[in-house]
Amino acid sequence: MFHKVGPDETGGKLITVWIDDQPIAAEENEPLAAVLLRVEPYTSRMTPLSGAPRAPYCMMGVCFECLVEIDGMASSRGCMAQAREGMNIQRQVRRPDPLTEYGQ
Amino acid sequence: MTAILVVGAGPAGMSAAIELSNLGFAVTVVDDQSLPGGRIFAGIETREIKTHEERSGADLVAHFRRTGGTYLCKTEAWQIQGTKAFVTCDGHANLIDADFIVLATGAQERPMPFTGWQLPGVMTIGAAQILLKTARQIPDKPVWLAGSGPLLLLYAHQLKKAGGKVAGVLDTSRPGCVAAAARHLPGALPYGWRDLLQGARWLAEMRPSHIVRNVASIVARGEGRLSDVHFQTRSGATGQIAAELLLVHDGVVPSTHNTMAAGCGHRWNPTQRCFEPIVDQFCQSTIASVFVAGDGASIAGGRAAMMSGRLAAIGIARASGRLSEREATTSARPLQAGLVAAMRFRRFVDTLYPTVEMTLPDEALVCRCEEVLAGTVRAALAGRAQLGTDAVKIATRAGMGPCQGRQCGLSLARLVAEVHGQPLEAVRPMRIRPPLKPLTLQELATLLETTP
Ligand code: FES
Repeated sequence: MFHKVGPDETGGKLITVWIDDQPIAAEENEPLAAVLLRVEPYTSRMTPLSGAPRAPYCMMGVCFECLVEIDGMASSRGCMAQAREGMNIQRQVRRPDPLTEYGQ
Repeated sequence: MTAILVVGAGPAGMSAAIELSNLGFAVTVVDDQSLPGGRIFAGIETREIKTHEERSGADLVAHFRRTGGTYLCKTEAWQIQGTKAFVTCDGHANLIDADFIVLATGAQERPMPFTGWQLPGVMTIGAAQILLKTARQIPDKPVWLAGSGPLLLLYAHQLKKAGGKVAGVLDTSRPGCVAAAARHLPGALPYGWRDLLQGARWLAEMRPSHIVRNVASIVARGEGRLSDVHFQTRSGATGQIAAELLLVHDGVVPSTHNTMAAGCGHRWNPTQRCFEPIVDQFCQSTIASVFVAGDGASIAGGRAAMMSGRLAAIGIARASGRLSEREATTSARPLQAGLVAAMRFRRFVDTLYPTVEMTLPDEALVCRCEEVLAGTVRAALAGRAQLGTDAVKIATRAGMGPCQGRQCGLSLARLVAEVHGQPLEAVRPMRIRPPLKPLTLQELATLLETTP
């Protein structure tokens, strides 16, 4: 959906992050949500209610659509987090409602 | 020594901090980003400087780094109470006790709800601009833009310069605005002639293959992600385009979560159609210890934000007795005059690009987080004139999700006004509660260690 343009003049290091256990090339310190938008299926999470897929929307920390699990911390905003070598990102999936859906 | 906390390191916050330090105050600045600059100068220290505006931003950031007091990056304020602010940084919560607080938290894009706006593939133009500024990232195919406002033109210009392409524009602006704006033009010139020239140039550059004018409604469709956009014009003509990405924009509004949670008084601004904190000539809010500067007080743009940041600093010096009434009035005068000129320019821009607020059909999501439809909110309100925004939140869960109403607050207020036949001035905005930013229990528990 998106791609990088022009050479990096800031000397940012090329790194690898892991999205759903896939190695993905990224630039150090770029917003994680930017990386998510370059990788199919370009989504960040499923909604907890209906399980509909969502993707980063505002890139400035106000919509909370970019929620992903970052190094084990759930519901972290991908647009506010910066890419670091070896980061482990899991797209959030819908979990069953513990009150109504477990054990069925 | 009098201690001041500034929240936000955009043009307003940085300018306030520099001026406050000059006036001899002990200043601490907290900002949620990793670099100073705010949205307008996002990543300016790491970008190549190309324009006059970027140069002024880079100078301001450099000045701020030298003399802006203690700067804490990646630090989020999650509650303001009187003169106390609770913040988190790197997994630790902290209480900052100041004598005065300057809230300079800027603006956000106006939520632009329509059917299907939650689909992956629909994003804001502001988001695309941040991607360009912070990640040198542009749409990989010619892209459709929808909405109206200067940012749309600016992004189209920046995209073209970066080697990208606009496929077309679904222009939602109203016809006849040029004539209405013309009478505000003379007043706008002294402050904004450069911006106007630039805007005219961007407008002239705008030659995408398609501009669909007078668009009244948009529907985004797709299975799990955007595949087509359907639209209808005000004259009833309909059309459809295939698109995997649609960038939308309908102006910006003050980010009022901090000022609302702090308990500052707010009012409805009928021209810009948004709530804004009530501030006086010195940026002082209805709470004596809290000052509000920049777009977070009223949308006027980056240059005006710098002036209002400095004005807030003078206001604090006046309130704390550091400057006499006479001294404060004298130093404030040129800044106040500058802001009046900026507001005249703003009036021109607001008349040229009035807020559109497309129709909000029942099947459109109002609250993206809790997936509440406009129709559900309307049904909850119908025939219950006593219900306002807070009651509708309890009844439908709209506004209860993680964004805490940042994407639905204005739409809920709009629906309350619509269903009850009230003017928006009479609608009380949703009550905002802490924590304003996500906070883990572990982070909260660290307050015991960090706070005596
Ligand atoms: S994209 Fe909106 S909060 Fe991250």
